[in-house]
Parts: sequence; structure tokens; C-alpha cells
Amino acid sequence: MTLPKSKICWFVAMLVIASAASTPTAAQSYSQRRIEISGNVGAQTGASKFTQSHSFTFNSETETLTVDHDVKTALGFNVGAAVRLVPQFWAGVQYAMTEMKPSASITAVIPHPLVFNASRTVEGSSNDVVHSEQNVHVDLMYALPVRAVDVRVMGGPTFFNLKQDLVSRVTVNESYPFDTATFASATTKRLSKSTVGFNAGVDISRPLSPQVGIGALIRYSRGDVKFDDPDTGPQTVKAGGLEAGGGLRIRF
Amino acid sequence: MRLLVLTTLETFVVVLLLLRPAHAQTAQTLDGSASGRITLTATTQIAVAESNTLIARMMQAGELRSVRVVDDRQIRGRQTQTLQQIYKGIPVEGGSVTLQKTGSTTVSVFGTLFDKISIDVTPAIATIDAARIIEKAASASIAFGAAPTLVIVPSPVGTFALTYKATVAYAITYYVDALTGDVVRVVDEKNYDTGLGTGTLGEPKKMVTTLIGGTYRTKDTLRPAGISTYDTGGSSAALDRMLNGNTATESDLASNATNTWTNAYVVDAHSNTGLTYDYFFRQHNWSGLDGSNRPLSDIVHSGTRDNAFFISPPFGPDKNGAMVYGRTGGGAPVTSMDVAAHELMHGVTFFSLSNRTDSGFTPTVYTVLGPTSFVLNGTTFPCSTTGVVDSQGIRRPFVCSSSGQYRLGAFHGGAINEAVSDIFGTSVEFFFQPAGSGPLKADYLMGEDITGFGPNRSLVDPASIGLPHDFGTMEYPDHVTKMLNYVLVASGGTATNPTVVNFFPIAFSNGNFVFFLNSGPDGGGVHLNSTLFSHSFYLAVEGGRNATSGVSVSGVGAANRAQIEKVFFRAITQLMPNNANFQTAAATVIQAAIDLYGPSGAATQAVTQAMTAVGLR
Repeated sequence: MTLPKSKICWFVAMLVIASAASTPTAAQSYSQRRIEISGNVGAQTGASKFTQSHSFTFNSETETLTVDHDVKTALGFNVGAAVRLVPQFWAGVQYAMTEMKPSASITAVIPHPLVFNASRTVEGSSNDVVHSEQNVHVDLMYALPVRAVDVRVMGGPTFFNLKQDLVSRVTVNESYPFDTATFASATTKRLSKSTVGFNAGVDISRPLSPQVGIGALIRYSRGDVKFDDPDTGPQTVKAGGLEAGGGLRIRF
Repeated sequence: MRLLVLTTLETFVVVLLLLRPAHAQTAQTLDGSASGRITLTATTQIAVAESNTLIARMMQAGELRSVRVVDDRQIRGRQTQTLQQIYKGIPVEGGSVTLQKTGSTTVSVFGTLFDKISIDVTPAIATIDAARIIEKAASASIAFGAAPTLVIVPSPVGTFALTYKATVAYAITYYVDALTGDVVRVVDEKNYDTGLGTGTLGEPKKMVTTLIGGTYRTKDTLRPAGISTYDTGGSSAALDRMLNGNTATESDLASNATNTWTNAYVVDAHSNTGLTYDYFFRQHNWSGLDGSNRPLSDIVHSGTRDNAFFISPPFGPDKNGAMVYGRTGGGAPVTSMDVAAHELMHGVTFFSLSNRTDSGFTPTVYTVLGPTSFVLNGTTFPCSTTGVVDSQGIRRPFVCSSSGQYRLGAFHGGAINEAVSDIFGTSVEFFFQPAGSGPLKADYLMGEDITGFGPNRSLVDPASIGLPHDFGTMEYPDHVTKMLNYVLVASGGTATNPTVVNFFPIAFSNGNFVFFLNSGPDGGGVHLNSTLFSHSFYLAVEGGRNATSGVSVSGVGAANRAQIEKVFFRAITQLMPNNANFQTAAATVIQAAIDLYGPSGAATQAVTQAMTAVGLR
């Protein structure tokens, strides 16, 4: 599911080259259609890194977890439909999904089980922390008067549904007298929540025939999801991010 | 009277059971919930025979397998055998029986078996896939590199599931359906989350407990020896059962619905024993009572007034000895840190001596010559003509020398025992508490944190604590010349050639007459004479001048207290003979210092000077 950024750039560039090679007649007919169904495959990078802080009572003292969640670029899909309202304006809705597993660096300060004020600090990481999004973008698009290709800039609200793994506990290797401990594993809890944010982007398409074209999409979306689970602590996670991809456009 | 009532009640219960043989003798019970569960409770010949028929049939069919045969530790010649139920080679979870046997004869059978099992035992998923499912669900590896094992898990309604089972870190066991790969059950066996207790003085303490059947109980499994704190609930019968019957069960452990403990009596005993265990491990690399993690047992609510004690094996739960705690007359628990450490140190002393010499301190009486007579209430009592009438009405003479002097005696070993317990009682305080005076501060006093009780001994200045007796007050001795030597009664033999002697509560200290008729002879002065030895520890650490001898000691200083602790610990655990007197004990301490720090080491100089200061060299 994860794509390196260099491959994403290559993929977008190929779409643009392919777009430039299509014929003017097809473009004219293609551009005048009123309804479009589109599908894209591409990559999405996470909105931003974030630090999870969580504290709870363990061994009659406060254990603290600090988790630095990284971002990662992953494969994404979207499908959508748009309708031309007036010659220059379209309205569209698009469903997009992606799932990524960025790494998480974990630092835990774990109270000593036998005496007070002798906490042990352990560090570890997890490479299996899921961040998945299913988003619905609702856009108003403005078609720029550009020859040979259809260029539309778009923007509007996004309805995010985010599934995010947050670290709830760490397990450690330890033995009497428990003065030291080493990281063994992290227990995560998958949280899910919806929120509303925004998106803005550019869609470029080039007809291959009067009804079929290929296109490229670049979009940035953003939404803040506020989790408040007792097992993981209050945490705001950013959804969305930069998305780039390309695919088919079918117009009627 | 209370004991009588309890005994009568017990008899009554036994009679009731005997009057209901059908209930007691039921061999097999098939429960009515169609679960196929057969409960075996066979204690009579007929019932055992019925159970044996079933067991024999299942053994022959390969449905039962012997997994363990253990010798009975309480009844010689008996064994217990556990049989595991198997279905087509796969264990049935919860299906097992335990047979108590004498030779080939079965005495009793208890357990549960399942019938009507009929399932396909071919898993649809491989073991390695089950392992992946479990490790993914747990976000943890299967513990100890083990692989999931197949088990048949009965349901409450009589169905059975072929299941993979594996335990991951933190004792969490996962069950995965071997047909679908679904995680069907997670059993968290983890019971390690240290609780919080409030001590007698309101101080917070960590309570290492175990969750048993939904109730937190004072069973510390984090310290390798294991520490169990039992609560008699004030029952003398329970105390008797634990100490003399060697039996204490999980239900005897102190309990709490949550892991927040407010019973200061329990909190102090349990946590202070744990901290003392930690001290010995950290400071002396010594694990538990015997250095080899023999289990530790505390017993609270013992009914003992103004005291706590260590009882050595073969008494106590599982014959391991026990620390037994009482209360003051005002109800305060006698469970402070120094007292708990004092009692545990008695155990260390006992086991270290026993392991080296085959016994604890032997009751050797060391004697000195006293005056030829003493005067009491205007009457002169010459040794040659004075005696006592014992409880059988027999006149027993006092022990005299051939020249007519009272032959006085003391139990040096007992006093050394008490002294080292005080030494390590204070040492544990200094290890965990800040130095100072007042509650929860480390000092050289014993029992000072127990309201209405202490301090009852001082290692700094023994004479600062007065010891009331029937004709006045004396001071705890800080020098061998002030130690108490008791008049001895010739309970066998003659006054000048006794075969058996006993201490009489009349003593002499530095020529002064002391009469303890109301408090007894203290076992030959084991507590009262302890301070002359424990005072030497204080002098070796802190330095100072002995008030009696005037000899000054250059101590190693508080920063080096650990050196002197190690010296005394080595002396008692490695070198001390079981029949030591004070002088021998002093010599072992000096030798221990030489062993550890060399002849010219500061610690050696300090303990040598200290022993000189208290008159023991």
C-alpha cells in the first residue's frame, strides 16, 4: 500500500504527458459534457506528525506514555462524480480511502512496582500503527479556460472518517528487583471518529475520446479529529494530507 | 473459654456431616444444565469404587492420562495423582481428576470430567497461523517462544470447541478457534498492578497483592521468595492452625475488594516485610529468610499484646516459620518498619545458624559469681539457705558456688539474637527513611513509631530508656559490666551441682539488685542485655564515647554505615557459632570486618574500638 514519493511524481508526470498527446476534436466534445464519473489511484501522505501523551495510574503512581507518531505515504483510491452546473462551474462529490502504517516511537516512564519515586524509562517503537481514512469530499469546481486540457480548481468541505491506532500500554521485560526494564511491546487501541474539514485541489484531465479521458488530481485536505478515550488519553489527530493520483474520467 | 466454644462448634459441624452421608458420599454428579459435566466427589469406599470404574474405563479408552504424582507432605505413604482428560489426543480444558492414594488403594477422588464430546479435531488453520493471529491481536510475542497448543474448550451448555491456546507477555492467554481463526477468548491472568496502602501513620505504601477470585489478597509474588500476610481475624483457633497446624489457605490471606488498602495493620506488616526483603537483597545479596528464598509469612491480628515475634520452623504455614504481629493495649499495630525488620532478622539469624550449625542459638547459660547474699525488705537471703518452692510444691535451691556465692547466669545467645535484630531493624529504617527524629524518620531507636509502645530500646544511649522493676528503675546496659545476670534455680541436682537450671527473676547489674517478680526473667535477659551489643553497632557507625567505660570510638560515619551493616551481617550469617557468648560474638564481628575490609580498614578499626568500648575485648 505504501508508495515512495519518487514513484508518485513519475506517475503524475506520465499522466500529464499522456494528456498532452490527445486530439483537439475529442477535447471539444469531451469538455462540453455535463456529467463526469472519475476514479483515481495515487498516493496520500499523512497530514502531519503528532505526539501522543497519555498518563494513567499504574503501580500506584503515574505512568506516562509519550508516542511520536510519524507520517507515511500510502496508496490511496478515490471515486467520484461531478455535474456541470454552468459552463465554468461543476459540483462534485468524491469518496477516497487510504490506509498507512507509519512508525511510532514510544517512551514510557513506568513506576517501580515496589517503591515510590523510582520509575524506569523504556523506549521502543512500533511499525504497525494503523492510520486509515475514508473521506467524502464535496467540491465546487471552477473550470479554467485552458486549451487542450480541462483544468479545474476545486474546494469544499470534507467529511473524514478516521481510524487511528493509539498506544494504550507498553509491556516490558523486567525482573526482581525491578530497577530496570526494557521495552517488549506496545498495546494499541484502534479508535474511530468522524469530523468535518476542508479540501482544495486541482484536477487536470485530457480526453482520449469524446467520453473518456484520463486525468490527474492533486488535493490537500485537512480535518482535526479529537479522540478522548480513557485507554489512550485525549488526543487530536490530523486527518487528510496531500493526495496525488491519476485515473479515468468518463463523461456523459 | 473461647477455644472451647470453637472446639464444640467444630465437633457439631463434623457430627452434622456424618449425619448426612448421602451428601458427602456422592461419587458422581451430572449437572442438570446438559453441559455433560461430571463432578466427582468420592470420599467413601462405595463412591470411590464408582469413580474408579469410570476412571478405569476412561484410562483404558485413552481418555485420561496421568500427568503428575506427588508425595503427600503431611501424611507419610500417601500420594496424589492427577489425571488429565484427553479427547482424541487433545487435552480437554478443565477436565481432570485428582486421586488421593495409599499404595494402590484410592482414598478419595475429586475432579470434573466431560462426556458426550464429539467434535472433529482436525484444525482448519495451522499452528503457525494461529500464532500469527494471537501475536497480532496481542501486539506481543507468545511468551517464552512457545507455540499455540490445541485444547478442547467446553462451553457451559455442553458444546465443545477445538481451540488454539497461547499465553503472551503479561500472562494474557488467547484462545483462537481452530476452525475459523477467530479470537474467541482472552483471559488476562495478570494480577500485577501494585496497590496502594495507607500505613499506621498515614503514609502511602505500595502493596504487592494478588487478585484471587475477584478479591485482592496479600500475596506478594514479585519478591522471589513470595510473601503471604495472613489475617487471623483475632481467632485464636486460626492462629493455632497456622502456627501449630502448619495450615494456612488463600482464604486466610488478608483481603480487600479493591487494591486500595486502609487496614494499617495489614498494610504495615505486608509492605514492611517486603521492604525488609528488599534491604537484605540489595545490601547483603541475601534472599529472604534463608538466603535461598524460603517463603515468608506474616500473621496479623494474632491477639498478642504489646509484642511481635518470629516463630521458627517447624511452626508456621508450611513449616517455614512466621512473623507474628500483635497490638498495643491502645490498639496500635506493632508492625512498624523497625519491628518488622527486627522479626524478619530473627528468621535470618535462625536459618543462617541452622544451615551452618544445625540449630539456632542453643540456650547456653553463661555464669558469673555474685554475692553470697542479698537483702530484700530487711531480710537477708544467703545463697546457701535460700530457695523457692515450685508449682509442684517442691523446694528448689538457688545455685551456689562452693564458697556460697550466688551463681548468676544469662542467655548470651538470646541477647545477641535480639541485638542483631535491633541492629538490622534500624538499618532497614536508614535504608528507606530519611535520618532524623520523629515519625517515619530513621534513627537508632526501636519501636518509636508505635504510639503508646516505643521507643523501647535505644542503640545510641541504652541507659536513656529506663526499665522499671519491682523496686525501682534500672537502665538498659551499655557495657558488659552492667549486664543483668540472674539468680539461677537448681531445678535438678543440688545447689552446688545442679543438673537443670532455670532463671529466677532476681538479677544483679553492676552490683545492683534488681527484682522482676512481675515481669519475669526475660529468658535470661535476652532483650534487657541486648543493648550492650547493639550499642557497639551504633558506636562503630557514628562514633562517640561509651558512657560507662569512657572509651571513645571513631566511627566510620553515617555515609559508610553500610560497611558496618555488612560486617555485622557477615558475623551473624557466616561466622557466629550457635553457642556464642558476648565475647565470642564480638570476636566474630571483628573477624568479619577483617575479612571484608582488612586489618587496618576503617570499619575494622571502628568495630574493634566499639567492642573495646562496651567491654567485650
